[in-house]
Amino acid sequence: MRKFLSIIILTAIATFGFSQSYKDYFQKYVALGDSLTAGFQDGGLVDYYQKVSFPALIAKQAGARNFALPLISPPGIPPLLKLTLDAKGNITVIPTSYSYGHPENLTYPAPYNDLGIPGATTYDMLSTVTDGGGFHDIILRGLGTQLQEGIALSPKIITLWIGNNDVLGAVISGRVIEGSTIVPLSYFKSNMEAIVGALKTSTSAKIVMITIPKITLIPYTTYIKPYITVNGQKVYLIGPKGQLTDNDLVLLSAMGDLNNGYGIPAALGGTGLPLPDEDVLDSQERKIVENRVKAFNSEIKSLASKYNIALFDSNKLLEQASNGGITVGGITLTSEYITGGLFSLDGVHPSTIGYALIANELIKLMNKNFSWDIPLVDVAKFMWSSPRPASSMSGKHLSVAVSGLKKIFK
Amino acid sequence: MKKILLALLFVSLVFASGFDISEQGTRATAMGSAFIARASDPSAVFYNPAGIAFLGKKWTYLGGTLIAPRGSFEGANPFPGEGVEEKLSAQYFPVPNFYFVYPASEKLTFGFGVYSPFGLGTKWENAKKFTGRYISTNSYIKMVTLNPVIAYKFSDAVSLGVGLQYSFSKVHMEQYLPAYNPFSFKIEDVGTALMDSNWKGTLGFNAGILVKPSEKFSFGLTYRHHQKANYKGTANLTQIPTGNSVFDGIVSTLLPFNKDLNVKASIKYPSYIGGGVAFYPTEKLSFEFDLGYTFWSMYKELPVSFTDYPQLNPSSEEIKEYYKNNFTGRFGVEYKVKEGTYLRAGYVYDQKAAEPESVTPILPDTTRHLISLGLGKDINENLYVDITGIYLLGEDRSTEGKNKYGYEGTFKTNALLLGIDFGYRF
Repeated sequence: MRKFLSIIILTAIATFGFSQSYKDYFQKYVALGDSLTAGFQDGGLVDYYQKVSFPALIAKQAGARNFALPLISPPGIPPLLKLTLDAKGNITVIPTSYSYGHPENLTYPAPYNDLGIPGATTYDMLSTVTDGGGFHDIILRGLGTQLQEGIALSPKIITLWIGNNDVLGAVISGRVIEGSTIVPLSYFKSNMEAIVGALKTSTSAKIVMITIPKITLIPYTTYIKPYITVNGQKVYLIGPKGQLTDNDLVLLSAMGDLNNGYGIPAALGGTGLPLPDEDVLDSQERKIVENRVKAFNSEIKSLASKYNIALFDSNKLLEQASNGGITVGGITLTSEYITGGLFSLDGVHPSTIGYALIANELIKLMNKNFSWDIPLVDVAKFMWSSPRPASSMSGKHLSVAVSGLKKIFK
Repeated sequence: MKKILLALLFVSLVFASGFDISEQGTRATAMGSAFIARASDPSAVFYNPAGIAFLGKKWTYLGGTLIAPRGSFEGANPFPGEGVEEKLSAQYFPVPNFYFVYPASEKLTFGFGVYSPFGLGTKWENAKKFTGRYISTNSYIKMVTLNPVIAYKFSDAVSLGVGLQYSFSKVHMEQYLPAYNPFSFKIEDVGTALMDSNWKGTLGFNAGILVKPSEKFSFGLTYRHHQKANYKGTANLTQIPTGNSVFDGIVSTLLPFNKDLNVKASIKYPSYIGGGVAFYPTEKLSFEFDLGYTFWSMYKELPVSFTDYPQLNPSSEEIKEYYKNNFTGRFGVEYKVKEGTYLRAGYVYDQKAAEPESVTPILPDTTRHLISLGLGKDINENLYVDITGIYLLGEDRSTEGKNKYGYEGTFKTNALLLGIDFGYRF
């Protein structure tokens, strides 16, 4: 009888222990990466968005008791963007404020669990400790590199999403400059090898790696077409090297210049002057960036298989979002700028809904790979309410606003 | 945002599966509708038209079934989230039936039936707050079938019946329209959509064989052919103000509110084949086993198009339906207590047809178990009455995180059915 009882108890403990095991792992969760890991949204980093970053959402679902974030007060760093109108009634996206938010959690006595640093490259993760008052200083606080601080927490589970900024510089600046706006493949390889190697030798954590999104699928490059449609005919915009083609990408940063008539032929009411180089990623530059993303991702994949690391392909979700959309509760969400619901106002970073969907895909992947049963995030909550307070628009502009917004909504 | 709109309408039309109704005559229904091999009253027009060849007299049968479905839903993450509970509004659907049989000669018998082989609907409580409101708040399908049949008795052991099924049907759906509001950073209700189709006539046929090799047993086969209805209808969109006049202004320019929008849609109602064997161990007792097979896999898609707004048409992915052929097993027994008094009972196992992708608030299909009890009583030499009570229990049906609308959770359904029919043998 006694033996029988102890078997029951042992079984109960074993069963309990098994089903709870993800909770043990998530008491020591470290998220490594860049702005996507930090929960950057609407052009800034701010506390109410950081709390719904994908690592924070996963940590909460997995029962992490403490998941420290480098919280920043509103209006954020940089201050968040909002929709507004210029004097002509054109829709524009501007900062909500010219003053910056402040770090709220600087005295936290250990490295943060979310070590995602906006702007960080693979090089930064390995080597940068301080950046003259930038995000590294706010988040790392001189305690080491991102990688060192992450290892210092002796994590049991790590998400690693780095490398986006190794190509994104070229996209944001509209210029491909090897070694400056874009990292050569050999550098990327040796950086990634060093990062993953260090994590493998210095921690016993389970690791999930995430691939780099295709830059041609984000609103920053897709929203503005290289042409205007006039009576069903495409009239191509004027780029720095002449008339644009279908393969050139006009960047979101061109919106202000277009509103001022740049890039638009004089016959259509524009200035006839070309868009500046930084507004356009031309077809040659685009090709280089696309190929680089491919090469980086195949490196990430080969590292994942070499080190037996779980791999999450961010492009599956992104491709679905761009190709028909993702349906949640009968609502079709797309990667359409402003109206699609999946991207934030900066056109690069996801919205709260977008981050929640990423969190769920990662949870599914971990549940499958590690035989866990972490409950999925309640995305509905983030669809029917937002952590960010609603922004208003002044009444006297209403009619212009409508005509201006129509352009964007179409 | 346009997408939303268009995705909607097709949604509304998804019915059909759990909407097939086997309760088309109270006597048969009381025996789990296991009636193919007996087919021994005028409802044989529906169950197995060959059966009327053996009735041997002018005979009419009139009545109906009252169906009272009940249902609820428990949400799951990611949408609409754990803790969400929804309820179907209590509805009562009368499903009338009428049959008349006329033997023209010893061998040849004519029959005629009017009944409703597909129908029902789902209406969710508190539509404004219902978490599935972007899929459907109130949908229904109605069908009335006129079924003239002719049956020929080859011998005292074999008969054959064939008939035309001329059906009139219509579909209706209501839902809310969502949009992402970039000023409030959340999904808001920007309108409602209501779609109502015209009545559409479609032609099909049914046929059956009844074989009675001995007094101790009989068997039958029955077939009902699929019908494809191409509906034309009207959709109306009504705007809901969100409180942000800029956003509302944009929405009003993007969606064609307050207009009659012409819509086309089509539904293929599937074929059915069933077989049964009946035993008559004593003069007082008969029982029967039936096996039915419905070709739900032919219900592959639900194409919808807007005549004047083709940009609103749903994509090929969106109109896809996930159904597979299903089996139904039926058992029914009839016991003659005394002359003019019959007790009946039955059980039905009705296998689910929809895959989790297609288990939706419009049609929360599931495997169902029905238990029936009934009574038949002669009122006088010509007139008699049949009554039945049926309890339908649907198995809890989870969407398993695979729902095509991303509406996840578990549906629970049950229903009470009450039937009464009067028979008159001339």
